Amino acid sequence: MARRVQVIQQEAVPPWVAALMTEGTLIGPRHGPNGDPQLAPLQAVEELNLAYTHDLLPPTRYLLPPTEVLFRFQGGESLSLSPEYDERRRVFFGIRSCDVKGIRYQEQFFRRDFPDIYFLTRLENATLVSLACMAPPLPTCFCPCCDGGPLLKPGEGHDLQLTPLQGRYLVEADSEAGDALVAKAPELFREATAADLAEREELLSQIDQRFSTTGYLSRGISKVTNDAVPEEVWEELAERCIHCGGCAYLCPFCTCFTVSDRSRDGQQGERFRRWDHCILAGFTREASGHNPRDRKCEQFKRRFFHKLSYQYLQREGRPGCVGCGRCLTTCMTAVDMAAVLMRFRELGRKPKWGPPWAVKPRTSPLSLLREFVLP
Amino acid sequence: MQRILSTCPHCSAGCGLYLLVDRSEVIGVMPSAGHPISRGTLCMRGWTSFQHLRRPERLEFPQIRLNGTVTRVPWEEALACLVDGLERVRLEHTGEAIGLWASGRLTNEELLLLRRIAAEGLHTNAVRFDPCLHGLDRIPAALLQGPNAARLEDIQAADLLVSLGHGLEEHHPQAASRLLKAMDQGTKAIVISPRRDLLAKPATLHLQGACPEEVVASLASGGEGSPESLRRLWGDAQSRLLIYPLKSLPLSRERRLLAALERLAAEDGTKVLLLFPRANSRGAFRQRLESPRLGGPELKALLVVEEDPATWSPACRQMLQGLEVLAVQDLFPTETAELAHLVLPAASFAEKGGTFTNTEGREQHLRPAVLPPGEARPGWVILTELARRLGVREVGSTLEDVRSGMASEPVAPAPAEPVPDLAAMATAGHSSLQHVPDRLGWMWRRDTVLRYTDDWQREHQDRWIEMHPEDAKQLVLRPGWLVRVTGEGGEFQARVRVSDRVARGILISPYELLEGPVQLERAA
Repeated sequence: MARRVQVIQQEAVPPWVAALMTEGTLIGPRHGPNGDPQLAPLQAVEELNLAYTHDLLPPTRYLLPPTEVLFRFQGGESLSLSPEYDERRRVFFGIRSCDVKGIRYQEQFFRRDFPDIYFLTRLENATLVSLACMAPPLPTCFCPCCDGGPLLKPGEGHDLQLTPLQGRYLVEADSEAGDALVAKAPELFREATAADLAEREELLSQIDQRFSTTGYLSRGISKVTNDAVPEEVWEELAERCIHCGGCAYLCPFCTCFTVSDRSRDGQQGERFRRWDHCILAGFTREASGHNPRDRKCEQFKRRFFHKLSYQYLQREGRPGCVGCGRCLTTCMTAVDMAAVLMRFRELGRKPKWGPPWAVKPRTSPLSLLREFVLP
Repeated sequence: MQRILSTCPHCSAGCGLYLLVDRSEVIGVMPSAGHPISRGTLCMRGWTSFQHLRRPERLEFPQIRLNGTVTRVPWEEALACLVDGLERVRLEHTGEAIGLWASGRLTNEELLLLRRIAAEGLHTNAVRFDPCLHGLDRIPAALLQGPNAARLEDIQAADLLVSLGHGLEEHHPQAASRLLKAMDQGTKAIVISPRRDLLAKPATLHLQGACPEEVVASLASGGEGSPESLRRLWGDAQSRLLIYPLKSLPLSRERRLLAALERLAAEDGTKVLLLFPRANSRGAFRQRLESPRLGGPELKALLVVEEDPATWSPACRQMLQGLEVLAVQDLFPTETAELAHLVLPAASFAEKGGTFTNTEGREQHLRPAVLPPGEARPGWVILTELARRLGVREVGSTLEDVRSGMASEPVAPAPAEPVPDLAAMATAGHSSLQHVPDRLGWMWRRDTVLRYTDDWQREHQDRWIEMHPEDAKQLVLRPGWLVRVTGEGGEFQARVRVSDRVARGILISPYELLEGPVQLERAA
């Protein structure tokens, strides 16, 4: 169903945002201390800064918080459990396309097999207003080569998308929730004209030049899928990792957590979950003390296997990276996604074993990626 | 979810981090991308620095232990009791009968209050600020201030980097990260460490068996006696930077190294970056320092603030057990708190204000993000009240008041007597195996806050000792076996970890400060 495309002038955005603030918590870009851009609950419209670069903390961490209480328990004669759901209304205003993709990927994950009511409750109460990137906000961004952005097509999970044009924004609704946000202040919008759309097309045609679209990722997928990365290279990369966990905590795709209880007396307390990451030895250690992945190299390999191998790509319908570039910022020893992919590129095309043609993927991941490539 | 900018409470780099606060609880942390130290990164200690805040073991109420029973008491009574106890000891005994033992994690304000309590309230010199710096009575001023004292950002600009300690990536990750990235850019580096660590591999030169103090001393005297390759690298470089993590060598060797570094730093184009061990070790060092007499037989009362001396050595534990008054101010029921007559619950770094001085001398703020649990109070609030009750004048009642006294405060002179080097290198021995303790690892494994940090604990469950595969083969030891390590002055047990990163004949572990020859046997 084709939805209306409207236009709002730049100076009309603050009054609109003020109207949206009555909807619930408005999480929008603002400037924090140290010049850090933050997607944080706005107290006043004046704080809004749509010219921000990128928040280091992905908005998925509002939906899957670093720590959350699942339920409180009370022991004694009979056990009683009281679950805690977070039903606060949130409007995410001006989040990047890659982060919308991250949220939708997590939704897909948390709906599968056992629907995760905690995540889904938060998501159901969230409205996503995305902001297209007309140029890479940061030099670390590499979304076009992993289908993470820089803007969204209809049906890619946003409720509303803002595309910055000269002095105004193109506003495309992609859901009823999106329409409802426009309906909060309809007088501020006008229908898009042919000139507006032409300007967008003009900008889109330049996007390829503004963003680097090198196909690192497809090469990486091919290498990982075909086991064409020699063990020594994994060892070499893994040896540099210092297990800080930053890449997983800040990844808009990572969904891992650990569950634990806290109680003073063993009778009354709470069960909580906390972010966790696959590069820690304790992540896979079993109760017996045995650890199926006790070597640093295996832990490291696992992370990239999950993100890049064709096996997961097939199941999730996309590679496990949106190119937001957060791991590039937070990795202390430069073994982030881009560095690893660059290292793979240096590898010869010769397979680890078998005849040279064995390196050719059975189904070209590149062709799969092409399907995603922007119009 | 609100973000409160604060400072990491662990190592002395002092990363800027945000406390993520939701519904009056710190649910996580994240680094500040614009902060000059963290630059968007944190190490594992930083990322997990919020995990101790809501541990059920947190102390919530003041407690008094009388004849073996512990009673919860109101603050008023606890403080009155402490003041009475200290006053009584002061009147009944002469000399340095009252001691203070304070952590390098305390804020500058808390350390200042403790100093004033010692000087004006208790009239004692028996003070030990940051026991991690134990024995370090003097650091050449040129290495801390002036043109030759480096900052972390100088690592990038140097064209020869020299790292003088092992496990830098674990103990001082921000320095290690900058070093590694500089090497990636092609900067030449010399790494002197007993193990082929992360930094040693890409380094231009790795000196595995060398003693850092001897290498630096030889460089300071024109390169005599040092290998040709080293001299050439050194001679070719225009701007050189040496990095030394303090307390990673035994005291006497460390003194020699610092003296040699001072001579080197007098040269043009040579800078030295000293890395203090803990978040506010540098602040503690500036507030000076420690009395060599602390712990002697005349000590009758001790106030321990956020430290756990009972775990330091059996002798220390015995000393604590013999005290007339032992008061502990801490977050957790430490082993020392178990022995204490009085326990005061303190707030954590996320629950109080104050400043830390990082290893470069940068003053950074803590900001309270949540309330402390139960009746726990920020350390500076407890100490302000204690100071007032002990007769210290013009203490004030806010952090600003405390801070205003800081600038005018003269720095106490360093103690005149030399501190005995308790952990001097063992000399004689017949074993071919040498134990090289990872001294900073030892320190962090005794850290109270990390002991209550879930993920840190999960990752550091095993006690290990690392050795070369050939040595293990010769001794008929397999990886994972439990061994007893016996040396002069102690023994401990650990599991065998085999790796060719260590040289033959060298054993490395962070569990005991045993230095020198050791015997190994398989434990039952």
